Amino acid sequence: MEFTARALIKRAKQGDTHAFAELVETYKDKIYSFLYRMTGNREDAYDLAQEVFLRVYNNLHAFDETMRFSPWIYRIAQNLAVDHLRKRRNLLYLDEPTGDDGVMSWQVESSEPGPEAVVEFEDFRGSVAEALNQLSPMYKAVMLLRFVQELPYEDIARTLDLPLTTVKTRLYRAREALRKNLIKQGYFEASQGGTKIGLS
Amino acid sequence: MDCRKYRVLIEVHLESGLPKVPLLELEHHLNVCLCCRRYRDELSRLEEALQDCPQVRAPHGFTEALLKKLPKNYAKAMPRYSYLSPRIRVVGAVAALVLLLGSPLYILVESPRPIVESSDLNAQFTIIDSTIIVPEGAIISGDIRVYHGHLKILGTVDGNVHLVSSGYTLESSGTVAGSVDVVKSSWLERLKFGIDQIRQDAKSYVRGAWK
Repeated sequence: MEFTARALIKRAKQGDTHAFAELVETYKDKIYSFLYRMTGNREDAYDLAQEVFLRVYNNLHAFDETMRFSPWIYRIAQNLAVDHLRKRRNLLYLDEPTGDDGVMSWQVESSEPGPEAVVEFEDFRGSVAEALNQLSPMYKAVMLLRFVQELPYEDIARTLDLPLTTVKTRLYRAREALRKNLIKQGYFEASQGGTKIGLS
Repeated sequence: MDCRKYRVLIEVHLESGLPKVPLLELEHHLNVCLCCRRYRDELSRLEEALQDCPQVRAPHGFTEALLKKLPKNYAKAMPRYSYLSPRIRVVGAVAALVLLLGSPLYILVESPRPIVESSDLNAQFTIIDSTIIVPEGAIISGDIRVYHGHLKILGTVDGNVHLVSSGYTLESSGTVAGSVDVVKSSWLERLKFGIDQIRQDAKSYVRGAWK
C-alpha cells in the first residue's frame, strides 16, 4: 500500500492526473470512514474528505517521499475533523460541561441508549460504536486509528504528532472510558471496573 | 496475588502478545481469578467489536466530484518548476544569463559613451556629444586619456595624449607637449569598460537614492 502510494505520488507530482485519481481511489474509503466515525455524520464526512484530498493535492509538492503517506493523510484528516468538531461544538453546545475524564457529553446523531441487558453481539457492537462516538475527539481519533484503520502505533504517533507513550496512554484511557460507558449500559459488570480492582 | 500486575499483563497481551513465560503465568492466574478473567473477556470483546466496526465506503462518484474541483489545468497547480522540461529550464537559464550580461555586452556592439581622464585635476574640457574639446587658451598640465571619443585640441596639453578607440584633431592653436598614441581597444577592454560604467552608474544611482 505504502509502496503503491509512493509511486502514485511521484507520478502525481509530475502532473499525472490519473495517478492522483488512483491515489484518491486507494484512500477515499479509509479517509471517509475515519471522518464519518469522527463526525458521526455522512454529509460532514463527505465534505471533509473532499477537503482532505484537495489539501493533499495542493500540498503534494511539499510531501517528503521518504516519509510514509498514511500518517500524513490521516493527519490532515484528523486536523480537519478536530477543527470541524470544535466549530460545531462551539455552535451547538456552547455551555455544555465537559466530563471529568475528558469524555465530553455531547452526542452526534444521538440515538437512545443501548438495550439494558440483552447481550447480543449486534447490539453490543452498536453500543460500542455509540460509546466511541461519545469520546472526546482526542481519544476517539486514537481509537479509530488503532482499531478501525489499524495503523501501527508508530504511525498513530506520527499522525497525531505525539510521543509513543502518550499514544499508549491515550489508548488505555480511551478504552477505560469505553468500558465505563459499557458498564453504565449494563454490558460489563461494575465490579470489574479498572478503578476497582478485585482481589482474590 | 496482585491483580493489578495481571491487568497490565492482560492489556499488553491483547495489544502485542506476551512471551511464553509471562503468558503461562497469566494463564495460571486467570484460571484462579474470576475477576481478571472477566476483565480479559471484556477487553477482548471490546476490541473485537471495535475492529468489527465496518468500514464505511465513500459515496459513489466521490473521486469524480473531487477531480472536478481541481484547478482545470492540472500542471498549473503544480509548483512552477516541476512541470518544466529540462530543455525549457536550460533555455530559461541562458536567457537569464544573457539578460544579466546583456548590458555590458552591448558596449561591444554599440559605441559606448566617451570618457576623458586627466592627471590634471583642474583640467576643464568642453564636451559636445562625443567630442571632447580642450578649449582655446586652456592649459592641461598632465596626461589626457580619451576612450571612445574624439579629442579636439584647441589649447595646450602639457603632457601625453592617449587615445583609446578614439581619434583626435590638433587645431592650429593647440599644442601637445608630449606624445600622442592611438590604441584600438580589444573587445575585452571594451567589456571591462562597459562593466565599469555600469558600476559607476549604479553607484551614482544608489547615492542619488540615498539623498
